[in-house]
Amino acid sequence: MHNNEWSLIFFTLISQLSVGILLMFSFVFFVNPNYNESQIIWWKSPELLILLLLGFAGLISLLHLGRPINAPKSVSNFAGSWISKEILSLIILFISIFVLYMLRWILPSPMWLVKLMLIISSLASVIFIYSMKHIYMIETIPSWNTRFTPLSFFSSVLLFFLLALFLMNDQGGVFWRNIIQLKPLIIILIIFLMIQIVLGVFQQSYLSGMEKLGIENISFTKGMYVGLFCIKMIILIVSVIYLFYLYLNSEKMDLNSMAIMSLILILIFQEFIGRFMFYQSYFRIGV
Amino acid sequence: MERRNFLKWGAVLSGGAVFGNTFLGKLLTAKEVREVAQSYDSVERMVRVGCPSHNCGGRCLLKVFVRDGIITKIETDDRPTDNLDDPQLRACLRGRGYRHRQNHADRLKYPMKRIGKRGEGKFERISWDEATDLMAENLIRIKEKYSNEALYIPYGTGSYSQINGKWPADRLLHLFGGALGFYNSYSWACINRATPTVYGTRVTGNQRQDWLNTKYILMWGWNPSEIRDGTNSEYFLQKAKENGAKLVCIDPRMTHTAVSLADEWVPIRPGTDMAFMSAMAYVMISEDLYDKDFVKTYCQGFDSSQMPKGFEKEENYKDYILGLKDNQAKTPAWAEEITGIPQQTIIRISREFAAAKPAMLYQGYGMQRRAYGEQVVRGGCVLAAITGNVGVSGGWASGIALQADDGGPFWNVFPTLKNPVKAKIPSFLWSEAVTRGMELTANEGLVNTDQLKSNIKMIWAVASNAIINQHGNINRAVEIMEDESQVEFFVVQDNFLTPTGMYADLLLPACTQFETWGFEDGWKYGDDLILQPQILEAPWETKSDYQICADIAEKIGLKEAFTEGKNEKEWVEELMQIYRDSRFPDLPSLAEMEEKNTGVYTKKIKKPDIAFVDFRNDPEKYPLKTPSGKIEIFCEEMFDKNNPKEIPPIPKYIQEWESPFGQEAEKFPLQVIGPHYMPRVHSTHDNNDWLMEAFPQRIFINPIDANTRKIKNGDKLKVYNNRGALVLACRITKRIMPGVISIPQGAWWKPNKNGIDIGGSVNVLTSERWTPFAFGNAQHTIMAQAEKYKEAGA
Amino acid sequence: MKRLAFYFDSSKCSGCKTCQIACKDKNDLPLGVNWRRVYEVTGGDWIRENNAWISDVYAYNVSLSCNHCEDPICLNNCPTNAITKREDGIVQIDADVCIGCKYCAWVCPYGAPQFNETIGVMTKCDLCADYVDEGKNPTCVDSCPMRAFDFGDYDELKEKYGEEAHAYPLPKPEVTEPNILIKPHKSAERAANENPEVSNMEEIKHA
Repeated sequence: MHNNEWSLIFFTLISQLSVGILLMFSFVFFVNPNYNESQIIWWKSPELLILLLLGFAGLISLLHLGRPINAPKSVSNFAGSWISKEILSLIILFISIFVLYMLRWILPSPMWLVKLMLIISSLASVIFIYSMKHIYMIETIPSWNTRFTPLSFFSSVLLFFLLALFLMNDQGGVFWRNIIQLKPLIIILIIFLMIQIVLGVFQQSYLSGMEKLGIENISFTKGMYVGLFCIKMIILIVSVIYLFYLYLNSEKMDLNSMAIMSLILILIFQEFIGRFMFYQSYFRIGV
Repeated sequence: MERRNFLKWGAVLSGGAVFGNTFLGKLLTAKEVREVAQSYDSVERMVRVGCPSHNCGGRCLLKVFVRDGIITKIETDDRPTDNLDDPQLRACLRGRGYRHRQNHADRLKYPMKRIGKRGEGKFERISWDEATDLMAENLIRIKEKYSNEALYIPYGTGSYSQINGKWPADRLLHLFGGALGFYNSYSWACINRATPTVYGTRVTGNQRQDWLNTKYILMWGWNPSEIRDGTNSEYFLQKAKENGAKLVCIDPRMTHTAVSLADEWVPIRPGTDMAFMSAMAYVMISEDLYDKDFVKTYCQGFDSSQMPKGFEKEENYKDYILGLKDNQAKTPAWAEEITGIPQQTIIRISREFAAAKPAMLYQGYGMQRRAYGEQVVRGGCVLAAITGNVGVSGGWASGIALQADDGGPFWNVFPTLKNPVKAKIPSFLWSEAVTRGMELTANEGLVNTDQLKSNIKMIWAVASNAIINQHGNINRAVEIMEDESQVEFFVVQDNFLTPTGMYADLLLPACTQFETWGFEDGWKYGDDLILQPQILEAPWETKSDYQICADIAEKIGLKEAFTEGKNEKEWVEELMQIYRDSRFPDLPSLAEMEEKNTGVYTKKIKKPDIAFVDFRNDPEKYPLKTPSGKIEIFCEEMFDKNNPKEIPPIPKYIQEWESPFGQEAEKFPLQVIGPHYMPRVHSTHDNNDWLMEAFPQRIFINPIDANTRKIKNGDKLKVYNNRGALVLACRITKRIMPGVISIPQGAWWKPNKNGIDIGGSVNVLTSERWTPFAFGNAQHTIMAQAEKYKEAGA
Repeated sequence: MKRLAFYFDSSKCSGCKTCQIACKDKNDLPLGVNWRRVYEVTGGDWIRENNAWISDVYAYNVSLSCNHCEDPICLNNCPTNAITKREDGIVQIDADVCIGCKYCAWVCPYGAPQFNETIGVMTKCDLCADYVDEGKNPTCVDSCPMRAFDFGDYDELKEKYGEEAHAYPLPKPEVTEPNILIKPHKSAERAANENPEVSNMEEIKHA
């Protein structure tokens, strides 16, 4: 196990965060197109936020390269290489969000066009994540070439989607009024986290079965890897318990409290752990 | 660009970068490489040259590509035919990776004089004029005050070609009235001394091409694939295998040779080879497998019917093996306890060896570089004899095996002249001659005189790291050399500042073999002469060993006598004539070899010489040069030493003075061996980063020993005994016997502030004690303990 | 056209790494970049029987550079098309096009592409294309003191030596169709069943 791929950890997570926010925004928009954005300062232009995040992710990914100046060449093999497809879909996504921004904030445009652009952007973002996960589906890397990889990548998107929804509160009059109406979201989040726990256990047991495959006697049951797995599971379990508590005592809770913020931060933190573990679990057949 | 600067950048170029691996270093290297490469677009020339002669056992041919002062690439022998009578002399990684030694930034560049204490490593640059003055002053002063016997050029093979290395220094001192001489070597003291006690000669080896005729080879402690025991020995062994021979490696480690050539590996405890050999003799005697006729006709000392006159009552070989006098039959069961080899294996190997006709028992030098190493040498020769494998094609008489029929290569043709000082000490006992030289007697191996006129007062180490790094018990050697009242003047002449150089009073920078003329012939085998034309100019202020000696000669009024008006190239030409007059009548002229750029002359071997073939055909007419004229199993000379416990007249197993069976094993339960290592030639190339990347210095330890000590692969271990300690990362490997650890010899000693070596030099653990008969180094006889190293406090 | 391939006799390889160093010298490779690597496989056990040790330890070496595969996974996946395959089979990385994303190193089951920190791009064995163009062998082939290599057209080598493209710890040849023929060491089959470690991994992954 090697590869402390920090720039890729950040790239994938921030990309998934961006897509999560985008999908959340699409969802909100389609469910309630009349919501008033202007009162929430940081929500002024979601497109710009997403563009900023995607741009930042892209720049970070350049740190991973040995010769970043050649980076534009990386779309050359769009027929064969999923990296090229990923970069290409990122570019298309970027452009479509930019167009969306133009349509919603600069140019006067009909609602149907905005909605179309939103759908296109959302599709592009899904394709982007799909390409991203496919990069890791290599037959010579059995620890990555599993169903758990796309599940992990899309789960991250879904988690960010749910957390963004969670945060989509107001000081008045936007989407969720107070925490009581968040109850369905809390249930969904609990179910989601429980699925993550189960998937995590399955994945860990699958990887543990790989000890005999390697030339390096890699071990997913000892040392840092299993330690991180335990931390991740503990965070998920604690989060589920807290969310249950939140659900049962929702009247007394303040949506902007430290506890809620900590919950969100710690869930993002376990995403980092998970992605770090993903890169650590790199294991290739052969030599 | 001025040549010196150019060469300086050459050093930057090749990885020994001044700024190392820093960003600045990379920047500088990349930029300078490009600039330098662009400023010279002259033609690249290719020169065929012998690989610089270190003491590896290989004598290989290189194709060196040079572009104006820099070697750009090194290839090897590519003569179109690569076959049995003239196989290509392919260099190993040590030759192929030579650029990273040649261009190393740490090359000694200028003469340096010590400031500060000995060992501090503080030197200041001086001119050659000052340096040669210093040499002359000290030579004259010490000669006048103490006599020539106080001068000493120690054993050293860092440069082992014909012109350079210690030979010119020997010549100079011999012209100067002489110096204390030495005999034997760190390589093969026991086997060199003991072989003639059996055969009356050292020329006991058939030429290698004969190996194809054998059916069975016991490769006893022999590892030609790693050490290159003569270029192409492994090639001939492959051919022997293809011809149907079975190869068995007997060794504490599963060596490179065992992996690539052996059909079977028999692991054996170090130092117990003689027990295995004795048990083999037991099987052969008790099962009537030995060659009775051969023993009757050609041997002496085997049983009571053939003991020399007056010794009939003494213990003969059969007595010993059957335990008739000492009540211990040397059975396979007895040997199993000692060697760790299962008795069934001992019995089977004995039967196989006896039945294979002909068979070879080839002795490597590791097992004689130990306590009582004389015994195992004789034991191997005796086994070869009693199975009738002497004087026949496909057989092998064992022993040191210099090549039939005239002994192999000329180890030294450069005329060092006669040493006016007759006294000689064993090469390993120089430290005794320093501390108590005048007390030495024949009991310490002093020959040709009853008493030395003086202790050693001046040491001039040329191409030698054997004063500190390669000698037994480094900590003791250091103590001795730190005392300026003992050795008053210590000169080290080398390419690099080695651990030996750290204690010098004067450092003389020698150039490398590429930077001067020379030539080499084979190493132990070999019907080759390989030219070493000078292909680069000596950089900075380095000079060839020959030139340094000539400059010193001038200061002591001996220049004409020393040089005879010749430079290195002229010497080469003259010495080649010696070959032409004897072994190689067709040897082309130097001019022709230079012009044709052939690099090597080979005498093709169609019919290999067999040792002792005349003796075998007619022992009356061609007796051996032994007292009886026969193969002597019983040695009167050894009997006369009157030390039966340590110098028995028949080959015996003697428990080593440090062994797993002695009391010392309670505190120090592990046997340590220090074998030769693939990336190095002794201590040469320890600073070659390419080679050390391929084979890092490690403590090789068996998983069983590692587990009991809770050690994981890569952990730092502290290995220690009463003499010293080292700390080094380990490599857990199954390829070594449990109870044995291997710390390859030659790593440079690097003491930390607590005096613990972090360079991994096995000689902090070895002993200065020598073998009783040959006065040889017993450097593999070590017991020690290993444990996981804890950082705080040593 | 020719389909260039290596023939490697693992039963002859002593693990001396002359091939690795010969390659480093010809291509001036820095530390940490080894276009040719020698893997040591060791397995078996030590069993104590009274005071004797019985060993069924086995070991052998595999020397690998790049197999210039027929279906190169590096070429298929390189995002910049920096990797191309010549008509004679040589797979090459164009340093001017490469972005140094290391993806080829991730996917190659032979460890062939190596990242060169000094120049920031991926590099690997180029089968000594300059020598091949002159009709000579790659330098590693001619360097081996044990004469463990041969080189030439795949079909000709197959006819000369028989076909063995797989020896533990290499992956199955169906994955990338490597142009290498290996004569396995006598212990290779046992290794394939027991999955022992490559014991010298620290020498290959630069510390």
